[in-house]
Amino acid sequence: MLTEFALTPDLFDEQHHAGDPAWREKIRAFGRGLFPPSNPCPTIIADLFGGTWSYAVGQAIARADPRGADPSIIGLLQSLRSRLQRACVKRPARGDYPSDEAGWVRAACDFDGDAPIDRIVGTDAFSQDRAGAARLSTLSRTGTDEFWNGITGTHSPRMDLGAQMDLLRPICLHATFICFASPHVYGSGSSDFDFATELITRALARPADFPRVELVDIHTKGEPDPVARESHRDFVLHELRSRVGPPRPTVRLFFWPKLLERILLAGDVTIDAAGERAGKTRWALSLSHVARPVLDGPSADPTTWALLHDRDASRWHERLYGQPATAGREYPSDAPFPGSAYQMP
Amino acid sequence: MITAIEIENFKAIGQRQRLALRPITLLVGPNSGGKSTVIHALHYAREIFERRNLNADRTINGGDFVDLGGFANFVHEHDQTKSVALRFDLDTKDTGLTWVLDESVGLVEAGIDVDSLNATVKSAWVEIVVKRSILRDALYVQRYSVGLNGQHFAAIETDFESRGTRIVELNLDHPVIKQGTDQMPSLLVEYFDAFWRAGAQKEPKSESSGSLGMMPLTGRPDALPAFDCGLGLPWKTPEEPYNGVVRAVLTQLIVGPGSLLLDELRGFRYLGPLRELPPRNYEPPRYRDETRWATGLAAWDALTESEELRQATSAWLSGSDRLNAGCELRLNRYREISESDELGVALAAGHIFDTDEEVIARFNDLATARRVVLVDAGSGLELRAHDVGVGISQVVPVVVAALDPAAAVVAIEQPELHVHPTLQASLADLLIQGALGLRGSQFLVETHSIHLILRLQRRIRETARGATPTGVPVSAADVAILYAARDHGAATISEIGLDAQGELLRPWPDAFLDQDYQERFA
Repeated sequence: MLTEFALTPDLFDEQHHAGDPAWREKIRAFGRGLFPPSNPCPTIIADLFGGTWSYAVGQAIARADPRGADPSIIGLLQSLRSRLQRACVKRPARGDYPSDEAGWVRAACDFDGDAPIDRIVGTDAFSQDRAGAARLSTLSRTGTDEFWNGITGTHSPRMDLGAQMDLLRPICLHATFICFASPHVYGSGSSDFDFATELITRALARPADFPRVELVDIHTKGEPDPVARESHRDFVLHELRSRVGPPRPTVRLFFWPKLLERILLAGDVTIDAAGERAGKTRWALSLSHVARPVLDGPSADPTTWALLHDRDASRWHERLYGQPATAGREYPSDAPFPGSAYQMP
Repeated sequence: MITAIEIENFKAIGQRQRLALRPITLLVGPNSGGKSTVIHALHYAREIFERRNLNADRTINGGDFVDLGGFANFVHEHDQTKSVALRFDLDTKDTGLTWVLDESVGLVEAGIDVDSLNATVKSAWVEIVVKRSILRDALYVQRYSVGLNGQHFAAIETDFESRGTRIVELNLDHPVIKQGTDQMPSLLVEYFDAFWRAGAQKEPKSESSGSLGMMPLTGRPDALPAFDCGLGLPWKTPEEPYNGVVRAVLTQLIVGPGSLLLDELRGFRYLGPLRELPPRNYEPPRYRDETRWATGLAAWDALTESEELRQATSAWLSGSDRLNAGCELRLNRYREISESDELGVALAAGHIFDTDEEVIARFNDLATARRVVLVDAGSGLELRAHDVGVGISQVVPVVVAALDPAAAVVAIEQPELHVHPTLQASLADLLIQGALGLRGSQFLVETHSIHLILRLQRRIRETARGATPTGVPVSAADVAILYAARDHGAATISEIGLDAQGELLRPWPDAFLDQDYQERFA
């Protein structure tokens, strides 16, 4: 689904590739793999050491000589850098500041115990004798199909809650805003409720030096009858409270007159123009089904999950949080019922 | 200020869409995505509110660039059975409502504080629905409705076939009436009750309109009220003061928001996508011609007329921290002398004027022509618009439109046309100055310039950190980015929200931000 990469800044430093005439094309191919131009981007980039990795990459690119043998590489690197920055997630600083490539590899490997990074990529010159070499892939290796195996925007997970949560590990680890939209969030015993609860629980279980998940929104279909809706609300919030222990994130529950699809949005919490806490969507997934309760027995059939294109992620964010055109309609389908959101705790 | 527009069945927009407008609103998205539809909706609204032109083609200030083509053309999918609906939300915090009638005297006598009533209204909305009557083959405003302080207040509807116009909804429980002012509440409700009872004797209450019944209106061809006179209420109460009070209050609260909208629309200025250059022998017209804004020529007229505007524009063109275009503006005055005229002959012969009173008088009688010229900062040469780079001549009208205090709402299409990226970014500073500086205009800008957007985001970020390099702070609440694109044949326009740091709240829906990457890596 989403795959997290750690890249050493030396990958972008001309001085470390002076003898490699193919460096530019390797970088181009690597960039294409990280951010496929016409497909949803399945990549997350670890901004190691509390965000200093971004700075180190900028410095490495700035060292490129515009009068050097290949001036075009500078534009290529700058373009890639701005794309990388949009995919970055900050990782906390652990240990000493990395002063060389081995240090950056170590900084990436430091998370292996509790929040491992999926792929670590360094220069071809990285010595196989150094610590972390076993975890590292060289730039040349990224040119093989084998390297990219499993890094794709579509998956067919088993109908097993644990396996499905493993696929969402990067979101559970990094997202401070999570939004789950499904027509079927009823309460204990409903697969979508269990799924949402497990997602929150996993997100709360991230290492203490990672940013806490702050805002979880659950959107579901509600009855037109306000009494029925209130009962639904009370039940879901009560169940959530009993299943998710403190310290809880803010959980908001929205009821919609019409909601047909199952979507997961995730990203960062920010402050919006009105000064209110709001979610910023970075990733969006369409989930055909989620794991059913064990009572139903294990299902052998996998389901289909797909990472959404920016345009669709954007459309879903707008659908759930945009300004509805409500005039003249008592229950417009493009807005949650009046009274949403209900909030826990 | 207009804070939102809702559009339904107009041009590319089918289903109703609500668009937030801020001091600076950017319309972005692919070509033919529906960006212009928003600006055209403003043109159409002005046609309706100012001159009841429901079947608009050419518009008051659209010049050659805007031809709506009539209802048959601009109704969505050319389906004339559909109704076009436009709604405008207005922020009236600073202005309240302004009086439509001079009948406030009656209210004062009745003990109602007229200023308080107006000031109670902090926001309003006005909605109209334009429909075609197949039976009578004519267009009419089928519904006019208003809301006050976020709550529905009243609606007028017309049954065009039976020629009946009525107030079909009237929210007498509205807080403006119930708790509007210290003096008014019970008094007004009492008045309305008496009025209503008198009317109800003539017309039974209608089931469809709830408990309020329906109040007929006279004197108008359809639901659109006149904005310079009171509502025509045929019902009378036995007690004469009630009639005047009810009429004045209803007019104020129902017509008032429309009147306020009309004021906004009258201040609507449109700068089209291609700016014309004034001819070399250009002379501004004696009268102000609003249609000349569409081509940008009115900007040169305004520069000729206003010393203040000329100086402000010049400062923006030449300032190193502004557009830095390398030129400034100057007004030259000319008198044309024929070589064969006695004066010409005298000059050619080397006559010195101060010794010849007749020649001096003759010179003074000659008409003076005025011409704004651009002065090259480097060489000091005087240049006409034709003599400088196209980008400079294209950007001058944009600067003037942004700085001219005469406009309330300024719509500009492609301000970045022919302009260098650095200068495109500076246009964002110009908009900030125009919208949030002393001017206080509202800008609706159709653009494809990433540089302009990035500069706005940067200024928001800087403001959030406490820095204001331009001297004018700008926050995310001051800027709206509206993204327009086609979806199954119809335009969808939605806001790409910004957070307090100027960052986008959701991914950009197309490759606009990634174009550089796409070209280098694809």
